[in-house]
Amino acid sequence: MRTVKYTKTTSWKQASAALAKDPKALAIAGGSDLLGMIKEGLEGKGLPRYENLIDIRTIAGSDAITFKASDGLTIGALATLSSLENSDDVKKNYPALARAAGAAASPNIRNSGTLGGNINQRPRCWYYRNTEFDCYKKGGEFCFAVTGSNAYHAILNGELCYIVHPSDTAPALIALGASAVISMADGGEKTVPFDSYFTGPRVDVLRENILKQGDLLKEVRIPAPKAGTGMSFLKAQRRGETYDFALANIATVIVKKDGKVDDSRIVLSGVAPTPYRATVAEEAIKGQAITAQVAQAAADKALLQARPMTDNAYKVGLAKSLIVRSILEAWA
Amino acid sequence: MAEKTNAASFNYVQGDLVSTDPLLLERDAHSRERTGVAQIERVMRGEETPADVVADRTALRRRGVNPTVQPDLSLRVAPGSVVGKPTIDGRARDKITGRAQYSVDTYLPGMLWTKVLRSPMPHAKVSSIDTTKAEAYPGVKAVITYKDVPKATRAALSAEPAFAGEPIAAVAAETAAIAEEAVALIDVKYEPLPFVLDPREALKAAAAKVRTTLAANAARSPQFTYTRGDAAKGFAEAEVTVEVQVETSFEQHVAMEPHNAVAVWDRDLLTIYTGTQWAHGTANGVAAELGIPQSSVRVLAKDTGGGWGDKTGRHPYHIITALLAKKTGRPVRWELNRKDIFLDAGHNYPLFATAKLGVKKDGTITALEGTSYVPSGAYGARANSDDWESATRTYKIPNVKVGGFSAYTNTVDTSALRSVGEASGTFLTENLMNRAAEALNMDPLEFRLKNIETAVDQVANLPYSSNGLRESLERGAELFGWKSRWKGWQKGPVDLTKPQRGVGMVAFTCNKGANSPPMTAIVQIQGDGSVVVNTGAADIGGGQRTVWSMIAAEAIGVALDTVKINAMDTQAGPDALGIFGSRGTKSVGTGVLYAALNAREKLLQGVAFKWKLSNTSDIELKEGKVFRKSDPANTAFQMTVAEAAAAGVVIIDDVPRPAAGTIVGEARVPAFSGYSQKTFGAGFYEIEVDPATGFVRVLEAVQVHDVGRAINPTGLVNQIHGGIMHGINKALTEELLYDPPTGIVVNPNLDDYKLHMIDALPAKIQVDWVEPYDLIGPFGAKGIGEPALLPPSPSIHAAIRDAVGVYVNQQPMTPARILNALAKKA
Amino acid sequence: MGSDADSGGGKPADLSRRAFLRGTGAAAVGVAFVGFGLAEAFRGAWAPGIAQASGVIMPDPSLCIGCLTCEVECSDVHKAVGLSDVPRIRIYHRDSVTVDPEIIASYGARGQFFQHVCVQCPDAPCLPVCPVKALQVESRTGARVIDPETCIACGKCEQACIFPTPIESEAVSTQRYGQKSRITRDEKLNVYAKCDLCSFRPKGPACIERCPVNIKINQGQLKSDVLCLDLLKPVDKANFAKMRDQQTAPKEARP
Repeated sequence: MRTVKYTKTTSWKQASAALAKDPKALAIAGGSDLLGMIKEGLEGKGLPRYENLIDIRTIAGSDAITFKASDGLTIGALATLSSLENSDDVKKNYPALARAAGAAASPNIRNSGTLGGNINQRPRCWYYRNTEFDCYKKGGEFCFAVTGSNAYHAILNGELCYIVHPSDTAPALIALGASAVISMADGGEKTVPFDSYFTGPRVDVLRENILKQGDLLKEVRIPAPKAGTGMSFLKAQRRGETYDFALANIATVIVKKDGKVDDSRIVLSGVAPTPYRATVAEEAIKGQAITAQVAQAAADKALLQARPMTDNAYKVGLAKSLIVRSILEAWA
Repeated sequence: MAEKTNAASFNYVQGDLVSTDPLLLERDAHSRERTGVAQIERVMRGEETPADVVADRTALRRRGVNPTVQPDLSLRVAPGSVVGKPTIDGRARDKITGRAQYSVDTYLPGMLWTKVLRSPMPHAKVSSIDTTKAEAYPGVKAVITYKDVPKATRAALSAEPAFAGEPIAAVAAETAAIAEEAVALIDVKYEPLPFVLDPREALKAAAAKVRTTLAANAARSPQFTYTRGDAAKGFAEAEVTVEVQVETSFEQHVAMEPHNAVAVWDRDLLTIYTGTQWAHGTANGVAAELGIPQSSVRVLAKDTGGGWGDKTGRHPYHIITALLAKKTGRPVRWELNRKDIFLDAGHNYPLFATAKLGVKKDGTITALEGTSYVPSGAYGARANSDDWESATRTYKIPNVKVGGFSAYTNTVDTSALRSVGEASGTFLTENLMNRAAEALNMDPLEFRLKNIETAVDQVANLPYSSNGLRESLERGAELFGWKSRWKGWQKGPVDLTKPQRGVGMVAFTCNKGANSPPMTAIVQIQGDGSVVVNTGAADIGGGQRTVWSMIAAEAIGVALDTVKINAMDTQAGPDALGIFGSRGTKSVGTGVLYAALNAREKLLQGVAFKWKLSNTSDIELKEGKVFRKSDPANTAFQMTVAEAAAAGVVIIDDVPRPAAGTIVGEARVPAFSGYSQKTFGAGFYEIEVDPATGFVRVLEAVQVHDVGRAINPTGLVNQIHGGIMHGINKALTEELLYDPPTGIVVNPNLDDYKLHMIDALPAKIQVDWVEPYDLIGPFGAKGIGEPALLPPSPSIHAAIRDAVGVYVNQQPMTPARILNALAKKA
Repeated sequence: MGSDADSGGGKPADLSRRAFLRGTGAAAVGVAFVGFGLAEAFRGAWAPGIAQASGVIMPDPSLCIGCLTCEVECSDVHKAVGLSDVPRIRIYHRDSVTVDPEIIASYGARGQFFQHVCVQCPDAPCLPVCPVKALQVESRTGARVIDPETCIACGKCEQACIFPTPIESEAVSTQRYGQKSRITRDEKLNVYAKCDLCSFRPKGPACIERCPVNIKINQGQLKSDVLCLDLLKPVDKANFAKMRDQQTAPKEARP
């Protein structure tokens, strides 16, 4: 493994400034994704060889989890996945998020891996992760998944690059209507709903979200759940309880009113280059009392837009099943 | 494979053990009786029939044992006996606590580190290479390229890489990081050449040649074919014909200890520390390739952390480190990382096969026909007979016509992996048997019990040295409760909204674990009566060391804890042919047994001399005590084994003369013939499939193996448990994948090459074995390591069919494939 | 992948037509090269005063796998030189397209697609309607291009374009641009954008270069006599008319 420079920071401003001035600098939190990438030697025209790691775990209070019944939940981006998974506030008020955090990776990785890292991790596409393939995401000029082995690639919204978004927590956060507080390169701060946080290859194939060099995800804010809210998180994977990235996962939040769906959010990961909000399914169940038939009809409709490739057609049925189960679970 | 009689090898029927090889000391009729060898000889001479032996041994078998999840292993051992007693491996604690030293833990002062440059293309010619920048990089001590290595079928560094990842050049540097940086500075230009990945394509006349020097891509000439009877006639007689097409995958062994070598030269002696299954194989291979005498290469290993078939013989990393060490005059180390291993170590080859089976309505099988293709990689020639091992033997089939085609392909190197051949072959065979049973609406167990052939190996036309297949099936069915749990062939629609359960079973024949010697071993009795066993063979984690200790202790008559097995070192032990093919117990164990008996006899000769007896026939050695058989209470004729060891003699010209020093017992055991030697077993599994996600959970595993006889039941259970875990991986997750357009491996890492973790083991595992007492193995024992892998995958395949009504004919049976099969059916 | 079977027999009708077009095109280029005057005469006869484009991006729907690489690449290369990032080529679903069996064999059935891209009409009805002469003929490639500095976003060219696109909900991408014809408004920059044959790019149109199907055909890994996206030379009127027919035939009559 190569040698890298390592700097501890004590404030978000300091970290953002350090990152903004050096394109070969990257923030490190748990490091479970970043160190692997550096070790593997992933680089390309569009992926610098990181030489300067700016540690943001050392910023005081960056891992705090606070809940107020009036305002909802605030999670420091540096909170570990295991602290989320085990937080009583999270378990009680946002069980889907607790389950999503607990479904990610292995206990070891959850103990060091952070929420921010889980949200901002790079994709798992095996072409991207393989130094032999100079793909679009590394600044190359080809997507090998389009004509190669694509069993674990996108069935929805793929264009140019067919990665799937790997995060388990991201769909839960979108389903819960969460927002990101971003410490910006210029020293400022802004709040962006997670609905518009993730970006696809059309916006910039080299990134998966709106963060630019020097921008850092500082905090995640989730509004307090409305009365009558039910939620669910499900994950399908190749290995049982052991850590694995999702074949597909889903978070569903349903707000019930008078025995009907008043509002809902259904978000999948592992099916599209960004977490995929199944708005078609949401519209299909709005105003309905949920039954297996209603859920199935919504799922079928949501997947009409699917564009599977050579090896991933199975994901269409898988996504439908997950939508059905998730709606039923959130409704129950 | 059946041992063919060969003139040089020993033949029991015609002769006497001693007459063919003076080193084979089987003089003591007493010892023979003790170990059961005498009875085998009587059978061979026709004085007793194998049936008598089986009858005797059936009586010996199972002493009221009724194992549940944790069998009470102590019930199986005779009082006072070492063999058969559950014994925890002496190193188990060290291994679990991380204290154990493996070969990869070898660090020498002044050692350099290696990194290689690998071909990015599956087939190319290196048109130019410039290493000057790499050589100038600070900390780099040597760079070698394909120009610096000896010629070989597969040269350690290649000018014409024939698979993506083949090494081109290597760097030795002060640190691994420097070596890695320097490799990136090697300037190399390639001229891409056409490549072929699929063996079916490779064998077409117009296919690209895997290496430009090849005239054709056929890896064998002639290819494997086997016929008996008349297949066409057999299918004409059949009332029902079923067909299958299966595909399995490239699998890596994924030993916990990565492949490794540290090479160092002392003048003209090359020493290589390496994790190996066969130190002499490694040493001799290196010597041959470097053109130096075998005596100039010393290979030694600490514990080897798993091999599974991929750490035998010479590998490029041995040659590369040896050359770099020579060039730099310093020790050179190379520990392959996981990516190196996935790209460049051996792999199990996938099988692409079609087969059909003809049956009559009463369940009689009339004919089998099949064709298989395997990609052998660019240099290997993989066996195809093993792919058909189980299909051609397990069941009575009068008419058979099968063929296996092995092709060179521009894919990863292939090597043996745990039950190579049989593993894929059983997946194919049992798939066929299940379909036949389904077509006939028969209970799959009944169908198998009706058709198994246990007396004669139909291919070799020889009787089996032991065959406990029927007993294994019956015992397994009993443990699993098959009769009540098999609900018949469900035809109705499956409820796809919730997980479904299913059961499946399998029977198999395997040639691993059954190999007889040749085998050489040396057993020394030290001056204090303690024992050193020198096999030159390795304990690669399967508990072989404990088994050999137990065999030696039992044969000599000393306590187990006084026996030690020498570390693997080509300068210390004789060539034991290595630990592969599950040879540890039966082959190496036989050598240890005979060498121990030889040492014991030499020890007792000294005692006889001291007691002024004309021979050793009236002397017994038991539990470390020597006494007269005819007068055990007479204190004048008693001594400890230590006193006996001190009373050494050597017999020259039939005259015993006192001689101090270590007693050396030795044996060179030839191959045995006249019998077909195989292992057998059965598996019964219950699984649960979630039809929505395609996820399979194994709920219960029952495996019953014919092990001949259990030497160490503890180790045996461990091995079967390991086989179950490994087999579940094979069934459900393991596959190395190519990007077909570029010929590059896409998942050379443990993130995308999925291995299940311990949680995939079923909550309920029942392991048992039957002991038909093999006619050849030491104390009747056979091997278990590889056969233990065979039941899971075909059983799970059958259970998925039972649960959700689809056969998933590609291994591994991933969620994607299960969902695709379900979608296709719907 | 790739069978040895002759896939020629299974080609849909329009492929052979493409082969024909390409053949005549190539022959005509030769003629034009030898007899310059003749080619000039042709041009003059088409639309006096308007130079003909040297190439036309000609898609072959039967080879398209709907990967959208062309769309995104088009956006990217234009964005990179400071132009509007509206994709000048768009992919729409169209069930009536017959997909080449070679494509299905290699990549599976991924759906049926149709490509909308400007064919650089010789008579270019968009050209004369521009009130500010933002639409011009680029000198090197002859592409009809919009100068974003001049464009006042009046929308006349969009209306003049004789290739209306289907309702945008039939587009494969979920990205919406309000596209109505093959000239599209960029709402962010408030200009119109159309295919300019990447005239700023020495390597020619990015879509043609980056189309993965093209790449595989060029590498010989996919058998096809034509490319999925190709730059054809419409040197004679008859040839161009055929091309245009292919692009403008009523939906139900299209292959």
